[in-house]
Amino acid sequence: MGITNKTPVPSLSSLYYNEMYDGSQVRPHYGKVHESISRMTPQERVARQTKMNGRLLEEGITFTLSGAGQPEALERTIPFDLIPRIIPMEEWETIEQGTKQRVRALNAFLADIYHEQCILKDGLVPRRMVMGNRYFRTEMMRLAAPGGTYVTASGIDLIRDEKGAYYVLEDNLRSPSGFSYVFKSRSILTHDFPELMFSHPVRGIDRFLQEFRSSLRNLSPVDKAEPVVALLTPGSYNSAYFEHVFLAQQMGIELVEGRDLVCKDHKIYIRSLSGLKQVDVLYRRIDDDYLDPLAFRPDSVLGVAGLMNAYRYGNITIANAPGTGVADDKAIYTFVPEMIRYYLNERPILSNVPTYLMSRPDEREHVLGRLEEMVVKETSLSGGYGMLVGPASTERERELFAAKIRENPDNYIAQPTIKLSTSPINLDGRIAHRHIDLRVFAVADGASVRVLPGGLTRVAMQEGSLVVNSSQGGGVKDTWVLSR
Amino acid sequence: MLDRIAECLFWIGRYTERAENHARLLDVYYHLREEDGEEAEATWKRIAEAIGDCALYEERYDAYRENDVLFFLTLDWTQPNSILSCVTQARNNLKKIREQLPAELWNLLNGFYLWLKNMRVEEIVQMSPHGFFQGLKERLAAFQGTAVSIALRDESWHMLESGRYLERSENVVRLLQSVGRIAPEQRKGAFAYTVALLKSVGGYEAFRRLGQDDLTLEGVSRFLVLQEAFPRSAHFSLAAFERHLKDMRRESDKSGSALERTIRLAGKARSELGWLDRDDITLDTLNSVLQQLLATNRQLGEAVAGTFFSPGREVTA
Repeated sequence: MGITNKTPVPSLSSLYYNEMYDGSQVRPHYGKVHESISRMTPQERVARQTKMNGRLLEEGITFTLSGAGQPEALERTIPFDLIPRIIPMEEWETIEQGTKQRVRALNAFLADIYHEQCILKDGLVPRRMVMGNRYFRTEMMRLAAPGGTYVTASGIDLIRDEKGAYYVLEDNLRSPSGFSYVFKSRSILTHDFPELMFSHPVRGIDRFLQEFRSSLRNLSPVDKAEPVVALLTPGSYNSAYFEHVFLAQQMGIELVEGRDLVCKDHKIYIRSLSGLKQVDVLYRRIDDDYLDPLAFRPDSVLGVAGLMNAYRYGNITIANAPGTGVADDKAIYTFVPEMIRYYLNERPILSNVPTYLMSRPDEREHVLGRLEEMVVKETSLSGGYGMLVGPASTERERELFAAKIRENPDNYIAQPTIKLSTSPINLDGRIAHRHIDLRVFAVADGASVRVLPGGLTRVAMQEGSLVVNSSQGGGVKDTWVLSR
Repeated sequence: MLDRIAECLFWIGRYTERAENHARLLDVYYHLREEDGEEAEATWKRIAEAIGDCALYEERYDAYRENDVLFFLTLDWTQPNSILSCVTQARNNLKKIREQLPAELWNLLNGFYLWLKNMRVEEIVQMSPHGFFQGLKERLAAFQGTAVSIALRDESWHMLESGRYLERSENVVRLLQSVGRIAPEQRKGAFAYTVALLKSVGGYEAFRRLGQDDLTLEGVSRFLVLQEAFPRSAHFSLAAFERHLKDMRRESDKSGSALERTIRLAGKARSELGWLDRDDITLDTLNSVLQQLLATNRQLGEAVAGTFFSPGREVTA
């Protein structure tokens, strides 16, 4: 009795790549998972799922949705699916190499545009798109970043087309989120589904935290035996606060808010009961705008006054460096394959999704003529906000969006309706198929880049939906990379 | 350690301890009925008075009924002294500083909070209030026990524990006051009350083991205020509080005079109890002894706040 007996694999399977099925055949690397999931009764699946959900809630693996007029902020757990996503060794090899290559090129790009700007002078990227970008920070011009590492932690989002080829959907280079979900998903599956977990040669992920920690420590501007590393969080009301706590605790670094820090003589200190303690590396999880009210938004209370001066004096390292947002902009994204050829002289291993820039008149007209087939995104927004998903939109929405595009073409890009692969999920004991993507995490440390084996598989829980962001109700799966 | 972290730890200690005291007291009071019978309404009023604010209760309800009183004292999150409020406060404080304590402790406290939050009064009555209070005590004991078992003995531990012991010494005083307030001639079941008092702090057997047989309000008061060896006595609590402050001095290089002053203050309070003779606590003096202890507790709380928490400090840039 297979899964297919109960719910036939949807006819969508020809349109989309199904992670588990190849037609009616189960792909070999999913054999054992398929077998044990189909052996369970729906009641057993529900029971297993309930147990896992209970643990998520109890451990407070939540993100917070702020809502006005509620006694407490709404704490939601992210939906967790018990069927893992499996990536065979050879596929992973490509993803890992491709991610490393991409991160190296993006760091080289940032170092270039904040120094010599060769790529602009050579005319590969339009100067206007960089200098006029809202994430470009003139404050960073000609400031040396330690080891040339602008982007320490990054998350590269991958999707698969109908043939199963991987494409980069977007780069997240400012403060990518989701590390904690990867580790918690693994912990839950290890504890609450051990027989499944241990019947596969799954690559471990714990070493990544160690690597992350040493990357941060290596950024220290002075050669200290025990550099002080602190994670700067906006505070417990932030939606990703759980993640900040997790990373600080697991890596043994300080967790601080702006009000815990003070600047004296262009050095940043933690104000503690036992006096002041100088911070060498600040892993910040707040946006550039809020880092320093003296340099950026004057009304921000989340950051530290004087931080940018301390940075300029070389007394502290900020990771990721201010101004990295210019490289993960959805318009600059189009140029990443060019960057790889330009800076590394290599052939891009991972391809981009074809993207139209609305600032180019011919591409704009092409897109506006077929909006119902397109996904249009605002270049500077993320988290699934400010998007038009053509096939799911109404005539009226498309008209409104078209007007917005014409008014401000620089702010928009369009992509043909993206093809996300599908994967079976356990929905109240039944098996259903939903779209998924993959966020691959990397930490860069000078020239070397390390990639977390697996990453975060996000699931669009609504049937047919292509939006996987957790702020829009997306779920997660544990992601396994097989070691043989 | 940061100021705001110290503050959170101190309050986690206080609120978990307060929740335990409330659970213990309610458990005993709930099962204590006047021997010659009393109006049901009077029983529930007496129970509500134990930890609640009766004025607030009467604003909301027209009569004292079992389910309303139970809800008011345990599950009403708008009542600042209910058990749910205490647990929520402890949990919210821990949520802000989760990285400071082992993750196991957060899981326990958060799991406890979720369990309590979803509880309904009908369920409590159905599963028997005793079972419910037992469950509360066990969950709090699991939290405390895990902390003892795995928490690093650094500044944060001492901060947590000093909050716990200061709260405990204050609770002993309030407990004795609540019984002492009942005028002697109205104290028909005086004996039952005194035994209930001892039992609520788990001290009945200890009292017996020490060979004491003076089961009067005076005798029990002496025991709960002065007995050095009993961990829920005021003397023990203040001594523990003082010890944790001293350990904190050793841990940090903060040699500020404020901490020294607080330690001296705690030492003074503790030794004053040590000098008290059993004859110093009689029905006539009890009230003034308790008043003084309460004032000392308030002073110590303020001293801790002044030493460790500094919300309004200017930020220099």
